Amino acid sequence: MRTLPILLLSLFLASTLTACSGLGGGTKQDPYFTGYDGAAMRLPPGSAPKTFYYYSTMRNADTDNRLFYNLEVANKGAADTYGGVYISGYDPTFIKVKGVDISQAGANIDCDWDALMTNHNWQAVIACTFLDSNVYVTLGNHQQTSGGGSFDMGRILDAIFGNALDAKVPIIGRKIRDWVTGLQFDINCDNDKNECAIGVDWTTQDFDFGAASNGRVAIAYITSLYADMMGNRNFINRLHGKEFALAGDRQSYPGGEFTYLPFEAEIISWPKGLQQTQQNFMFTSCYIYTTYADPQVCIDPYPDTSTRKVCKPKAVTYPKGQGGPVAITSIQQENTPRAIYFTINVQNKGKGLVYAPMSMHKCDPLQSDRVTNKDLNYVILGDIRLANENQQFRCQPQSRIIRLDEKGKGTIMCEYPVMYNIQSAYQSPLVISLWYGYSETLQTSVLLKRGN
Amino acid sequence: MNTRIHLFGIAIVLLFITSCTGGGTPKADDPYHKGTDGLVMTFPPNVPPPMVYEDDTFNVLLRIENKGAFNLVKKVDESLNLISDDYAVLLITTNPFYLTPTYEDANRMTIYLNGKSPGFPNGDGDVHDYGFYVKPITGEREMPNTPILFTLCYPYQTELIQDVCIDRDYYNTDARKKVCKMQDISLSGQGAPVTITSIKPRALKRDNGIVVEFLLTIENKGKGSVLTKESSRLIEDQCTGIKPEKDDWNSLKLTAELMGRPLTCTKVELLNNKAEVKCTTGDIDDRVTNEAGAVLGQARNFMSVLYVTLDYLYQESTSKTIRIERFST
Repeated sequence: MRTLPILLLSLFLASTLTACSGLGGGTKQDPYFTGYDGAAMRLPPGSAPKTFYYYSTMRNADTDNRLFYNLEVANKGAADTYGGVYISGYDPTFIKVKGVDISQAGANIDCDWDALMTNHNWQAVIACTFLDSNVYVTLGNHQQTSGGGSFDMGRILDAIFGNALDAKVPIIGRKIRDWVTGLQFDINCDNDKNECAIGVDWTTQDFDFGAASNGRVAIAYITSLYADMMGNRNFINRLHGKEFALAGDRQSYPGGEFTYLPFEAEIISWPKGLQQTQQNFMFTSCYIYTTYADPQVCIDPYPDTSTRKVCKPKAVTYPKGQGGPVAITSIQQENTPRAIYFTINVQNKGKGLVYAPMSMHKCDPLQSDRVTNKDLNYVILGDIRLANENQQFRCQPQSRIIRLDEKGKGTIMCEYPVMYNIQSAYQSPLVISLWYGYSETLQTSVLLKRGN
Repeated sequence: MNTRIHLFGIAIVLLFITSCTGGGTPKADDPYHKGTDGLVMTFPPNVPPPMVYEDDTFNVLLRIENKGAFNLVKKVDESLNLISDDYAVLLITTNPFYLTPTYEDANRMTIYLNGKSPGFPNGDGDVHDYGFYVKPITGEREMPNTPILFTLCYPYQTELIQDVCIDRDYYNTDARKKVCKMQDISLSGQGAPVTITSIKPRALKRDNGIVVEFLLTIENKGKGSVLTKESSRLIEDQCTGIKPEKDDWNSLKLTAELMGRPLTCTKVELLNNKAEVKCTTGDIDDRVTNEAGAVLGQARNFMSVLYVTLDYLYQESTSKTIRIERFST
């Protein structure tokens, strides 16, 4: 009888202790920055018919012989995302999808704007491509500067274009411009060291780079990198797919943003002698994503000394992800008196493919160039720093590109030179951003039958 | 009483469950384009009898059924203009030393029979009646045997409608997900004696474009022989005329379409009742404006429909042996 209360008390204490001390394993995380989802596609119940009838004599031209798919795209991860969805897998000789022109390889008329940031230069490129011609305007400094400057991308675009961008790409253009309105770039160059440091702020929201970017810098960087390499084109081919721009799941947007993309498939002819056939529709999403983490790490140049310290360096593990399909699985550190070495392990935990930024156009299933290993498993370490320090990390590889192996795993090692002559330890957040392109597929099939 | 109520309640629930979960899966295959039969001849029991007497007559009943999927009918358009006229002819061969035909079925030279279809689930059939006179036996031979040979000659068509995968990346070098994979297809009968038994698809890169190719294996699975069908000649002339040229024997006319466009095929000639035929789309180039390229566009991987027809004359025989008895004197 006496043992029962003692047992109950022990159980209570054990559960409380394990909950509070994190002995259950892994780093304690913000509930929004968990999971392995990105932009998830779904066909809501009732929107994907299993059987459909073709009538050679139509009663209602608007609905007869037309399949309607209402695809839900929900951003269930933590970062904002921009991308598109393509539809493929159907026989183009007897099915035509509205808005999808399979006869054309690329967009005839396409206007884009991009911001490119490098160590020493910045430039904003506004470009329009039509037929076989290209017209573009480039703004920015093309030389090293000895001072600093800041500018507001949104204001520059407004000054040049007014509402022209909104007219060209109504929803997406307005959204992206809203995101970058108030985006401020500060460039401070040191001529002696021949180095420039770039800082980015969103003045309207009054917080710093990092989590606050919510993936927008990755979007700007990757789209500009793509445009720069591929001739001022958008990686989403608007002749083949539909675009989306969605905010992530976070405190300011609980549940993440979602949208519905309608696809209308018309049966335009019926093969001779055919009674029924199975047709497939595959939806392919291609989008840019960011994985963000900011674990507390212990900076201790002399970890083996026995003096009393506020923290001890240890490995960080993430069993639950960071709210993106490519996850940081663990971070190991090796502390030395002059530098701290961080080994960052990443893995593709989602169900899709990781694309290299310059190959994002190949994500289009109607794109003729085949996708090989060179186009895949390519993650950019977009940002790594300790708190708000400007101290640059040196990484291996220097390009900060993490290549994933056939199991989707990759590693990068970064060195943080210890700045201060410290004899003890201190804690600091290690801010890491991974930038990558991602693609997932959703397939559905329908049995088409002759109705008359 | 309570037990009965419970059982009744369970029965009602079960009834709802089975009715609400739906029926079986819909039929994926055409039930009529199956098997390797065309026209089939059978004799009812004892007609003809196994033994007949000299200087006597006897009847032969012959049942002819169309167990395949092709209709032997006269087809007309809406204005009643003749589109095609397909019928079978029956040829009867006897030894004139012993037998003489006395009467024959009126339809012997124009046998129209529908094949398997929703209106004729087992195909259409007819019974033919033929009479023979047994001549008196001369000489000293007693109880000779003599055969009666029935030969059916008829035009027929094998029709195949098959879902096939079109994949420009035949060697799987592209990492993007696909909806289907190009692979060999094995087939059983299509409701006709000449059968397409396998389809081997390929997509080959040629210069700047691709060519989709199908290697078809065709076999004569029936018990008869195949002749070339000539649209310009009457069937009875083709069946009863001069012995066909060597080139006409075992030769079929093949047409094939993919994506509604005709394919270019090699000649079909059966050797030992088997033939392999290659059908190709011709060059499909993204950048060349040709018909096939314009149709395919940028589509890389999808299910399409291959439509193949084989037209031929088919000749099949069956016989009955009659024993002739003398009257004892």
